[in-house]
Amino acid sequence: MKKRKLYIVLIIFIVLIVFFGTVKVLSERAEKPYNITFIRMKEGGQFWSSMRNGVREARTDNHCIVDFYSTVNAADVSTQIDYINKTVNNGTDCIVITPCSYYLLQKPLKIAEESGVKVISLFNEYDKDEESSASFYMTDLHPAGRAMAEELFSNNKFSYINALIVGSFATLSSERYLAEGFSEVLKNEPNANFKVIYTGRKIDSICTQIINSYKIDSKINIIFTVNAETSEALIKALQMIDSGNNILSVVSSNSLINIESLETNIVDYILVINSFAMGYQSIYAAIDLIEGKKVENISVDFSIVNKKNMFEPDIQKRLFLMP
Amino acid sequence: MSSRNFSIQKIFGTAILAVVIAITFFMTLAVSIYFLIQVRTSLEDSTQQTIYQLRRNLNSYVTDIIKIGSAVPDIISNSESEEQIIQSFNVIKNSRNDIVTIDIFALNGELLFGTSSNNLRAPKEIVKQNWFKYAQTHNSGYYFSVPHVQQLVLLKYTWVISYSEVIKLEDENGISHSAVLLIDINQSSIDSIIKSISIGENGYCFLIDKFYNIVYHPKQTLINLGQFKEDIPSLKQHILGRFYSIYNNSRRYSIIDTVDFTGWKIVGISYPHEELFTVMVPFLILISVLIPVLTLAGVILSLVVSNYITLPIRQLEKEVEDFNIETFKPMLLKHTSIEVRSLAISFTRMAERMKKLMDDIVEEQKLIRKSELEALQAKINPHFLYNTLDSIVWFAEQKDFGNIIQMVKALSNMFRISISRDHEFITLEEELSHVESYLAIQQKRFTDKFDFSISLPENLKMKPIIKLLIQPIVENSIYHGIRYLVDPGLIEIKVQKEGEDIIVTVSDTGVGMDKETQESILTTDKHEHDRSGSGIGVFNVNKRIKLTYGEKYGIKIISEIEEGATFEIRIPCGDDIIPVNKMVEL
Repeated sequence: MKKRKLYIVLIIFIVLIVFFGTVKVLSERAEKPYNITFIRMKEGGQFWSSMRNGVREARTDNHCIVDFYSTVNAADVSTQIDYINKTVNNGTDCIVITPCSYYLLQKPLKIAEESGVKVISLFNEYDKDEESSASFYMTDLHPAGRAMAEELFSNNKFSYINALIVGSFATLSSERYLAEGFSEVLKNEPNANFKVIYTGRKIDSICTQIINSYKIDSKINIIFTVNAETSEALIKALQMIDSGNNILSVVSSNSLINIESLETNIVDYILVINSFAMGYQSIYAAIDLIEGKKVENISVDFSIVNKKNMFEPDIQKRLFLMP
Repeated sequence: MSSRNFSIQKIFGTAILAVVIAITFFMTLAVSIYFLIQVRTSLEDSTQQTIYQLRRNLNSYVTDIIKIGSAVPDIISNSESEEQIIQSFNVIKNSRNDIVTIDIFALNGELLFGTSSNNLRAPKEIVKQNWFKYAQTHNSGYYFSVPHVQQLVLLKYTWVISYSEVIKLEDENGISHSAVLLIDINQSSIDSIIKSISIGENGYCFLIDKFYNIVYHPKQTLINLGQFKEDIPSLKQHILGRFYSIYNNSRRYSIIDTVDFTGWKIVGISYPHEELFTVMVPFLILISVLIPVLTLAGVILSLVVSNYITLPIRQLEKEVEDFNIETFKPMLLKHTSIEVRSLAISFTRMAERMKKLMDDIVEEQKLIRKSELEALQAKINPHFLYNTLDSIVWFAEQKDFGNIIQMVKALSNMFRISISRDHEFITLEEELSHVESYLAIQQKRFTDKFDFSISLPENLKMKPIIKLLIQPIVENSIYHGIRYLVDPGLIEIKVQKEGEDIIVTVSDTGVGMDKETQESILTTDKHEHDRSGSGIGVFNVNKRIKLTYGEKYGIKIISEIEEGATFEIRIPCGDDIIPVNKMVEL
């Protein structure tokens, strides 16, 4: 009789322990959101702000914690490495980063991956192991470059093509991919020449290099700038170059100066890369990686804007971001 | 293990536990369902109230804008100069944060009056814009646009919602002209009205126009940038009212209402299941705690109740195990139920009956032994033997060899029957032979005192009878009936069958006896008979018959004073047996 009572008490005791243990574990698991680190190579400007806003929106949707870091100088590799080491030590689940350098960030990010941290690379790549399942790239802008060039040739008549493609750094994957995509289409056109120059990030310097390039080859009739700085420099240069409206200009980013230049006919096209979507989708991809799901290739969203379509409902939504 | 091996405690315990668990389960289920229904109804009501409140706020806001629009013609007609009109417009604009522009355009797109005077776009660009076109074509005479980038002033890109209306203006000559009034509202003003409204944890409201274009949505940026799509198709299926639908793998509850004057619809979305989950979590935790507690209570209750019920039974069991008929005392069980107490009482009664029966059996055995002793005494009655031998001596002195021979034969026959000690039952023939020998001896002793006859049917000769049963009756007839007669008496012995019984009748013509004596002979023990000196043998014979055959058998006495006495001995008619003497011979 006593033995049976002892068994009953023991069973109840075990049931209670299992129950409260399960509840505790579940509640702890439910209360612990994913911790994601978002490291930008640069802050300020429409492109980067929009990317941050996208991340914020996704953070709200998914109830995860996102720590924001950014370097003032886009080439500040050492600060990015510090951020990586710090967040890895803090136990972040995933790092979403726009690396400053293709190869200098390889080692710290590899260490991060080895310590179980997932890595998503935005806009720029780093030299990662191809087989790594812990990392993911969202950098392929080839389609945007190709679409931009096809748009130009479908709506404009050229007797010849002499294009200048202006980027900041050849080591920035996305810029390089944009230029490559654009060039791929040019190569298929008859009488087409193109030149790709990488000019750094200082607007005056870029402007000077564009003017000098034009002075060297005054037959340049297409100039395509692939980021906000080169675009601003191009606008400045176009106002200084007496080209007789013979240059068809394409700028990137929906900065106010680009929009105003489009409306005042200084530039002809704006390529708007949807950096908001890039940031937004990167958080979803990060969560998928953390949860061990396979992340499918995510195409980068973009819009091609000209003066005719800039106020069309769908285009104005992409061009003029709501406050 | 079969069910019959379960103890009562286990059965009670299991049953109580099962009942407690079943009640807990069903109560939990019932309360949960009731709680879910209540929460769901509450959420639906809450969503409806929210939408109703939002509709009132938006109606109020839209009415304000329309009122401003309707006041514009009066402002113009009451103003003395263009500057005064513009000043009045600026006052209205500056008094409200939400109004971006108040302009009046001619039908050709020229600005007539307004707050947007500098760097205005060309009239041909103005007339192409939706707000300008729809103000003239809308049936209601005014138009509310969806959010769009304002295209009035060059290089100014503000997100606005436009209110436009065709108004009539009179020129200096009193001729009426149509014009288009434009009031641009900062989009954020609509946002602020709706943002302040929340529906539960994850619900939201949004606005659409009659073409299902989104006027406001909390995820407007995501929608604009292609990262989110609202479930417009289901809204097209439900123009108004409320409905449940599944969108993006979530079940959601939608309420559609309209905003006056605008053609806009308010759509309230709530996620009852997610809300339910949030609300239910504390409830479920409470239930999860209660269930083990109630189960534990059930276990304890089952142990207590089953113990309470089985403890007296176990006490009873112990009492029964320790039962000793000699030392038995009535049970005193503590804290028992009526049933167990009744069982104990019944057991006590049974034990008492057993004790009485055992006492009776002991008493019977004593009587049997005593009867046997008396029978033995009868067999070797020394007085009878002395008297008989004395009679034989007397006959010898008289050289009456005939009587000597008869008496010795008779005595010999008596002893032959008497000494068959191992046989309690003998045949009627043997018993009557013994009686006949006895009577023959007594007849010789009491010369001419009595005569006797014995009648035994042939078919009853081999019927069994207890040994030496009749002789004491006959002896009683001689010594207490015939002996006191002056004239010779008669003793008749008859045997007959009556139904399943045998009746042995011993009749004498003696002095008889009264009723009182008749009763006392059969019921009063030996000591009393000792005093009266008669009836000892009859009492014992009657007792032996009853002990051997049962209460329905025994001796019946029919007698009256001076009329002799008849003793009817009733015994059962058994199967024939082999005579003892034959058995001895065999």
